[in-house]
Amino acid sequence: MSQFDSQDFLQDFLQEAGEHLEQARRHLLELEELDRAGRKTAGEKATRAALIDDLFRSFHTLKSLCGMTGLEPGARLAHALESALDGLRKGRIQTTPRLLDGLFHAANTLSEMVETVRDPSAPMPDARLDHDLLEQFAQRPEAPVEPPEPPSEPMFPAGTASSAETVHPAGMLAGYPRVAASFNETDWLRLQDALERGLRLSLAIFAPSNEKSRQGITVTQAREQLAHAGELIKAVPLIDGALVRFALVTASTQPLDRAGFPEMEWHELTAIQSGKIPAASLPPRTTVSSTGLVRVEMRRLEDLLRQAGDLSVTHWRLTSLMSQLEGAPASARQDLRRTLERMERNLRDLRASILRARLVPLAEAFGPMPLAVRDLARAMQKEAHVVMEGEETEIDKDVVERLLNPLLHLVRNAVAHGIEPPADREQMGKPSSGTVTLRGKSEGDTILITVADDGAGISLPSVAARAAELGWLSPGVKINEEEALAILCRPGFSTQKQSDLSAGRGVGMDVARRSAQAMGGSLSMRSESGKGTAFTLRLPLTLLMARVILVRAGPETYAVPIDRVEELFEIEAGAITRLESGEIYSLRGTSIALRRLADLLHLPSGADGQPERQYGLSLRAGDHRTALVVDRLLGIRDVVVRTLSDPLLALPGIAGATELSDGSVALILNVQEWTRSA
Amino acid sequence: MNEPYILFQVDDASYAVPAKQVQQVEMVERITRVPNAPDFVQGIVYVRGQVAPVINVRQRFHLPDVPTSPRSRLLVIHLGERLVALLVDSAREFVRLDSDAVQPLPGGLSGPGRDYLQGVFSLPGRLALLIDLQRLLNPEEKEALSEDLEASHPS
Repeated sequence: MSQFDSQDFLQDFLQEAGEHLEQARRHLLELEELDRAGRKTAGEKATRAALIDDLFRSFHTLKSLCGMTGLEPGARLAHALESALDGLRKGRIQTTPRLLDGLFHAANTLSEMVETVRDPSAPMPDARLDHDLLEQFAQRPEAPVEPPEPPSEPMFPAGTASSAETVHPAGMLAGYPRVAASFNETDWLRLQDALERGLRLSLAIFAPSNEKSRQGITVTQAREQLAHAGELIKAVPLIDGALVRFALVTASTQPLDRAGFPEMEWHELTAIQSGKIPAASLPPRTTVSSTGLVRVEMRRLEDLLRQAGDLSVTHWRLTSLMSQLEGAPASARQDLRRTLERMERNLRDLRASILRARLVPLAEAFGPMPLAVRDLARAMQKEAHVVMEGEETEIDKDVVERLLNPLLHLVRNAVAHGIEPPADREQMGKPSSGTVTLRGKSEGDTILITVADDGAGISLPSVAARAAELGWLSPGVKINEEEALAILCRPGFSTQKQSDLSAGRGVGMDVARRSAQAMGGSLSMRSESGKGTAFTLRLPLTLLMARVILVRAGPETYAVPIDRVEELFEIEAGAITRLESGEIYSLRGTSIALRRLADLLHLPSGADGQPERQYGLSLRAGDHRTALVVDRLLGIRDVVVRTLSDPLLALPGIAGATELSDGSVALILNVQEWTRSA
Repeated sequence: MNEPYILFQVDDASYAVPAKQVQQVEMVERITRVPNAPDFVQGIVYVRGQVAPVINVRQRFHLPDVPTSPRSRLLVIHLGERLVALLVDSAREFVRLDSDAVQPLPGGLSGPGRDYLQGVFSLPGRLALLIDLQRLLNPEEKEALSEDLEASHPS
């Protein structure tokens, strides 16, 4: 048990330390920007002072965090950083590019130290250089400086809050976890307020019944009576199967006259000192901050979504049972159908709400990019800065995490291969510092992320020439942007002759495109010679849910993500042309290659041979059009995607699985993989 | 130490798995085939909100395949982070065995599944072979490799 606790604690530490480090890096970058601009308006001075204060607090918090986990070198380095920031704050030292470099470097070292907590086999980084440098600046290293104000954020989750003197309102409801769980922040504040005014709290349980309602006693009436006698803080419905009761929490100056409420069951609420709050009364492992935000582990949201998915399956089962009710009265069947339809809407809303809870702004993925641009530009003697647009666009946390790597490759490419050296830029009349624009935009369930630079652009003829040199193209062939991208994404391609700090264009592009495809997305490119290049990643809003078409091929049911499908059509035997290499279909005057799903998956053909009617799903895939042939279309569903994480199931072409109404599982096909090698 | 085990049958032999690793025993309903999966992976099933691969123990032991019968069972095994179902001919016994009484397998034994056994228990009148789950559930690299070699050098 204690081992789990310490694991949880370490998780908390890693998360919190990571957030502070991330914030500190961002603030250092802003500070550098501000100093480079060199203007000194009053507003900018204030911003600068606030940045330095924030930085100081971040490192101070990091010092305590490291101290708590016994990460001694981390605590020492955080202390040195804190002292340097204190010097800056008090004007004892000035920011210079060298100092800022030192601070960046030390923050990176600290970040590596924190990593050793996650991975104890990682070597502890050597921080002697950092200490030397920081000490030079701090002139006289001082004893630990305490900040004038303690950090405003609580360091621990609410459950371990240490304000021992006050009565925690949660303590009042310790014995009633279900009531406590329904309390939102406002409710807690009202409860706290009532406690501070010295009011008495009582909890009454009211169970409505037909008999009571005949006597005119309903829950509405009970609420009114209580509100009259005191202050009704909250009414919480408690539902146990068919039994519905209400818990009514009331605050009053005088003890309530219980004889006046004979139909209720009374519970006295007594204050419990916060130190003795049973853990069960508090929502575990979530942090309620003053901004109304709750920190929840992703796993919990996944559990919720899974349970919602289970409910959907139950709903489909109920719906399919409808057909067995032929003998039932028409009115009852209609009522049932309406209820099922309402349930479906409710379920859809529930899934949507859970998914929304997992969304985070793109800024989380964009955050590390300015630093990457800064480091690479500096190393290549170029000048570049980042501009963000639409960074508030929201996307699933999972996607953000998997987005970082491809985004980093695109951004590095923009600096390494897009943006020209400052002298060249000036010659062309461009500002010496290049701009890398990160743009986020949502289009329904798709998120578009663009990485654009105002650099040299990609010259299609030189890409073609290089491809010809590599023997991939015949010399003199003209290519379009899409073809150029395909060439750029081919491993082993690089237009730059010398190897530089960043990976050649080929490697990065290949990674970016494959990551996008693995998430069911795509990468596209637009470029204008001399003006710049823009790469756009199209990604699904979430990887956990998908809208799919359920199809039947041979004896099996499969799910095909609908965003891959351009069009559904019924196959007319007369429109098929059989060639040696396969089949071609004529669809409204254009030709389209047919791929039979049953053949692709080596499925045994059904006992009755090929069905009379078959259907085609034409797929979105670049220039050549392919249609998947299936035996039946079973419908469109929003499904919860189960990833196949077992090593025995790590197979290309399968995006996951989803459960069907009969309790069996259907594979979700990554159709691109199956149709690619035509 | 006295520990609970679940006994299952494949072909004519009885095998034992520690009950603490068995999450549940289920009747065989629909198993969804997975294209390109290893031969011994019969497919996948949905168990309590998770998708688990089904290992056909007969295939794994290179025994002749038989159709599933009403006695066939899925043993849903928890091993570390993994959840895997074993398809077996039947599983009906729950016994307590002294885990110290497990004996090494006699040398030179080359019966079905020899590679996936840890030892043997002597029960009154019969034997129960103790399964090495770790090896049973792992994709066999050696085997896959040798198959590849055979494929690239057709005889």
